[in-house]
Amino acid sequence: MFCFQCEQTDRSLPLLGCQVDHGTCGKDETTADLQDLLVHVLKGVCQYGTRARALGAGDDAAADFVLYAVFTTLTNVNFTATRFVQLVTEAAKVRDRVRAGYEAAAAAAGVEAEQLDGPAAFVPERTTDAMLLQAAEVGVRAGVETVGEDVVGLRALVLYGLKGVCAYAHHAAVLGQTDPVVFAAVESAMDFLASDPTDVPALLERSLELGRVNLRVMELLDAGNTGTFGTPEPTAVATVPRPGKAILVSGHDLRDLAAILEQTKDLGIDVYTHGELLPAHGYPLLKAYPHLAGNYGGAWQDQQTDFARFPGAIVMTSNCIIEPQPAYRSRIFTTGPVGWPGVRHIGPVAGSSAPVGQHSEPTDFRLAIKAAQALPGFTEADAAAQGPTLTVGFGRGAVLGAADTVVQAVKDGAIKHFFLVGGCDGAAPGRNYYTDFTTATPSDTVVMTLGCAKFRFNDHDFGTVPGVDGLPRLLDVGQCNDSYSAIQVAVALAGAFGCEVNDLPLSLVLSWFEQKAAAVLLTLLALGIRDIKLGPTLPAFLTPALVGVLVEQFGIAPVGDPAADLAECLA
Amino acid sequence: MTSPILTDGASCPDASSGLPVVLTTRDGIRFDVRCAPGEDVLSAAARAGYVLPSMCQKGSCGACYATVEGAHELGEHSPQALPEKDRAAGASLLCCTYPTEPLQVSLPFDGNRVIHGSVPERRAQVLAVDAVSPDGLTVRVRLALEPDEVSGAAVEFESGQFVEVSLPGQELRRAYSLANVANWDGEAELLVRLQPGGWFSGILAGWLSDGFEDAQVVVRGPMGAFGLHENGVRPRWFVAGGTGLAPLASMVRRMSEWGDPQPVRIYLGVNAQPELPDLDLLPELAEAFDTLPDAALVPCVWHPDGAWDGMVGTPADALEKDLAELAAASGGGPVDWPDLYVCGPPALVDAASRTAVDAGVPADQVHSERCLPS
Repeated sequence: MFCFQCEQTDRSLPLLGCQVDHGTCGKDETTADLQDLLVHVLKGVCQYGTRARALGAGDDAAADFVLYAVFTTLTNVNFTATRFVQLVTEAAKVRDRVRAGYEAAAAAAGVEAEQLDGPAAFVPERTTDAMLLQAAEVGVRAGVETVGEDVVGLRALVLYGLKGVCAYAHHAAVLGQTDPVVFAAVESAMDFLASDPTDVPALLERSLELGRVNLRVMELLDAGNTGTFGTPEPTAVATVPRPGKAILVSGHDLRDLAAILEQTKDLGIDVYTHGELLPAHGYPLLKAYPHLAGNYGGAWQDQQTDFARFPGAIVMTSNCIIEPQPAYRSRIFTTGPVGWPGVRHIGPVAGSSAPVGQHSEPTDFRLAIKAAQALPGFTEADAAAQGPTLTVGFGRGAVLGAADTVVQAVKDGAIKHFFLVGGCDGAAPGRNYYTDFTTATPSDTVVMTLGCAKFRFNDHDFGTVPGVDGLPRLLDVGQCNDSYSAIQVAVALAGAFGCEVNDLPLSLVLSWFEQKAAAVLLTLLALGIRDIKLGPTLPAFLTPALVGVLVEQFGIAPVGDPAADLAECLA
Repeated sequence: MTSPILTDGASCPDASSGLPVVLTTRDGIRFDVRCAPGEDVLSAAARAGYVLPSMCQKGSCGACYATVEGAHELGEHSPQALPEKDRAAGASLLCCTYPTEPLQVSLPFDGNRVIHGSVPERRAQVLAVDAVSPDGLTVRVRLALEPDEVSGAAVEFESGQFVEVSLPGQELRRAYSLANVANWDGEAELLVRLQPGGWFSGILAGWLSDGFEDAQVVVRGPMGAFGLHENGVRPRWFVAGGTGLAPLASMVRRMSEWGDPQPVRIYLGVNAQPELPDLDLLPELAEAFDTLPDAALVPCVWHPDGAWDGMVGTPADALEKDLAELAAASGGGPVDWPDLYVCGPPALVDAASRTAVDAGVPADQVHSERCLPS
């Protein structure tokens, strides 16, 4: 195996990356290699898909499958080797269908169909061992001896950015928001990678193009979330449980959460959010369920402790799952793209015509509900515990609704600076940087946050902006999935002040972990946003030369000493 | 399978004294314990709060088999549980391993099979006792476990694990593998072959003939390291002797419930047809066979009468034939060897394991548990 797609990749060897037995995430060698093979076959789907679409014969169902299948290969999503053997086989069938569609469209158009090679002509073997031999030829470092580390790093940047795009696009698609433009862009990018590109400027431009595509994807996702569940509004969230039976929902998928809330209605089961589902409490149509009882636990890397303590059923709806411990392995369920060997996966409702793992029908959570009813649930003593109340719901709707107040506060000098501190959390010790940085911000500044990085500081009492009636200093914009909302806030502020985003008193201090964050970073770069501070470490796939390019062109800087960085931001 | 079950926390020697023993699981989890003079490793681990997989705790069953480095004495044990060649290669049985110097112990299972603290006990109501073989001696017992504070009504275990059953207020216990799947209905299911003169066999025979109204038992567990290995899509072949079917039935039912795609084959061996469980009387297992994408049952009768037209011989004989066919079908190329799960009498386990390894199946793909009549 070789994998360096996430922040926690093994940096102990001269060649940075997980390459022995298991990844740091727990992914085994077989699964890692099969994921590489799946990506290879999906490139073949897109080689035909992009050409078919150019002839007006786009296969949106195939592109939708690509989004889902790519999502399964993100960090901490699916660890089930058997699932990847199935997906490789399924992807080859989809590719053959798309090829037939392309050839028919070419014939109808009176043009000669291209004879494609590479992934387009790849035939996966039938047994796992034979597939693994094939996978050895198609990994992310294939050809490095010829093309060099910089090209491999740039291909990785494109691939990992694309993975993030696919994941977000899948989130949008499950809420009914798709756009053929996005399908076309994904197919085009995969086709580009299938050509084993070596041109450095072209690779860089493709990365930024994916950033632009991701902005559209995030817009779709924003429309899906707000269109389905309403515009988030400031909401206090309890962190102390209620006595009684309970289900904990983790991951990002609001649709799954909504389905669980609906299916547990009037059953006497309370539903709790975990990790990136905390912002769900701000959505009017979700918080209208009286049994959406609160948030339990911290960010994803705390799940082994949080889940072991939780006395009910647990549902993981998307990234980020880590190895379920024996204490809760029997009562955790995966859904959607997620999987762990030996953990129950629950799919769409019985009788659904939806392909496995895709999304035209809501998921049937009866099994998880049955587990919740059987398990002990919270006691009166649990409910007597102390815990902070968290406030969420400061998406673009709420912030821009108060835009006049905010703009006036800036003009009056009550707010001197904005920080956007967000992204992913993780287990690395250096991530306490974000705690130290935010808690040291002066009282005449506002900290906007999104993603699970917020769990590093969202239990700190930041108070309100002095002199501005009731405006909290910490504004929880939402999930990492809500990056569009944060960008729109920045753009609107720039508009209000008649300047560019880069000219605002705004500093972006971001924390990355996996490929969704890579896509968001590319979006920010594509928008021309400069001087982002990025941590806790820079991606291992970026060579020193590539880091040099990012520093030179975009002013990206690694996070350093929190106090010094803060002083620099405020200078 | 009576055994002087450990009493956690009782008669605790000074925790800081004794010889150090480092126990390391297959997945690298390390447990440090100290063994007091005259104390076996299994007991020392339990005293330190780590309950390792074991069953008879008298050297008979092999459930606490491990590899030991360092000088130690080995107490009385069955050569079936620890063959001499394994002993020569460094294997031991932890229930009768007495260190004479510091030990390093390699445990052949993952850390998640170690119970921390004490083994849970729950009272259970007898729901059903049904004979499932034509000779009436193989019995399915269904139990309803009472809810407790930790698990509620849930019955959580890994397929392949076993429980110990006793009567309320009595010391005697018998170990039986669970034949159903972890569930939230509070049910546990056992398969028991009635043994002449057996303590629990006698009780079951009484319940069969006279009824079991309001009968209760105490269920201790789950315990044990036997279970499915989630390591890819290789076919899974299950080799059962008699009621060694129980843990394998649990695995197959779990595969069905979880939607696992691996091809499945069960070799089920008995001495004579009347011992063969009737799948119509094990409907959940029959349903699992129907829902798995590629499942086959190979009943094997060792000493059939004239009416038998199935496989004659032991499951090891059938296995030998099928593995040879598998190798031949590969045409000299790499063979997609199945993962093997074997449970039954020690002689069958040894024969099937030897057959598999001799045929070319990698030893780490052969997983087994021995069961003894009780």
